[in-house]
Amino acid sequence: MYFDYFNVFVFLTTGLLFVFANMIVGGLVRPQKPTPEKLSPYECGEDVIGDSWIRFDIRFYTTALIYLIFAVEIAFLFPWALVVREIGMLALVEGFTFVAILLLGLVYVWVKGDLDWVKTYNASVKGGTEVEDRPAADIHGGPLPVELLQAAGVGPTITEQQTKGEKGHS
Amino acid sequence: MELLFFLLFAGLAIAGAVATVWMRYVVHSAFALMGTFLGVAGLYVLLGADFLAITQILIYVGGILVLILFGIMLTPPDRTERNAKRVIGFSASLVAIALFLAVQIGSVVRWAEKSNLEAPKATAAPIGRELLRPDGYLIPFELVSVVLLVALIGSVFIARRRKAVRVDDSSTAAILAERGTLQQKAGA
Amino acid sequence: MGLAGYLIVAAILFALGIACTVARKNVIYVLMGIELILNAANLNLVAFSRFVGGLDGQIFAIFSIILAAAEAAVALAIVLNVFGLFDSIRPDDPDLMKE
Repeated sequence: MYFDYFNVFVFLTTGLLFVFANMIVGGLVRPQKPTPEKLSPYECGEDVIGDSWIRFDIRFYTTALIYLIFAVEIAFLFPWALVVREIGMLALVEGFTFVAILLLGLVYVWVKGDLDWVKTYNASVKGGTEVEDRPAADIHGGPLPVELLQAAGVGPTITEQQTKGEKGHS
Repeated sequence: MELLFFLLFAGLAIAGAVATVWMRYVVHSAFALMGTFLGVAGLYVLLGADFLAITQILIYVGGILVLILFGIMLTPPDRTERNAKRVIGFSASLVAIALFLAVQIGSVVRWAEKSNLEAPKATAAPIGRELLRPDGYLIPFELVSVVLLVALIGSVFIARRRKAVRVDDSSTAAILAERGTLQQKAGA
Repeated sequence: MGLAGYLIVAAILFALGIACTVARKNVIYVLMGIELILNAANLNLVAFSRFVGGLDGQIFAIFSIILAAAEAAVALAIVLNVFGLFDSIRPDDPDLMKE
């Protein structure tokens, strides 16, 4: 049994060696004359602007989440698939029930538009679902409405300019 | 030979855990956590749980860790958060307590260990048989799909951006405004 | 390596997971600490499954991994939503229920 893992071990060692041996040899051989320009992060030749931390779109998270749930499903279906033939009908029914229940989740996220990557741009087409009309980069809820802030006694007094500014943001 | 691999994997797991607690940046901690997960997967292999080792790599490293990395990308870095004394104090004292308890329990309790261990066999098919046996784990197997369904729908729903305002209550808005978070947002 | 070695590794992982949950002020660290704790528990389950016999420990560990995945998904979604509301990822900050 352990001998079967020898293959895995050989692959692992080869992979690690391939990466790190090259990096170490490269580090030993190449000339090192650092200058501030060379040490700055590479942004396609432009000068570096701003922080390296930017807010990503939350849809990356949603996609990773859906992936994780279905990865778990695969982990469960693998032992099922190994024995479905020997157990027979019961296993088949159980397995398909399992997949069908999870399919409901896939249908939900599909219908609700969480899988549409460009939903920002066809907001008018999908009437009825929760679609956005804000720029995709804004993962916050956007600014709170001015009326609510005024109700709390802290809102800015609305001048025409500020109202425009608010609208321009959201 | 087995002892060597045990030390290797256990060292990887513990070093990864120490680095996870210690690192200043949360991204470094997440990658250190990958070391822990891989080390634990290696220990599973030594324990003859080959299917579980693959599941560990597939779900923990391939799924949960990616999710955590996305969570890190979506929240700002907090570079002043680590209090080195606090971290060292808590880690050292808790590890000491855990080791003490483990040694105490180990010296008192005699587990019903098997004396002659058979060589490990492939476990995926026996696990599948066990999962599908009606007096085995058939009901939990089906319930897992329901749990996953609820987790999928619930977390997608929570994570989704809303068109509506998050704060729909003026008193909540007032409390938040006192702290300045609202004003900051409104002025942005 | 006998059962005791695995139990000690699991105990260390568990302690470090608790430390990670308690000592760091960032919700992501709390989640990573919980993953460490769950890994320690799984390691115990699998070790007992090996040294006592039977597959039950391994199957428990699989269910535990599945629940950890579901937990991480929901918890991170909550974290992101709380961050959108409070502009903070420190677990002490969302305390509106106190007011």
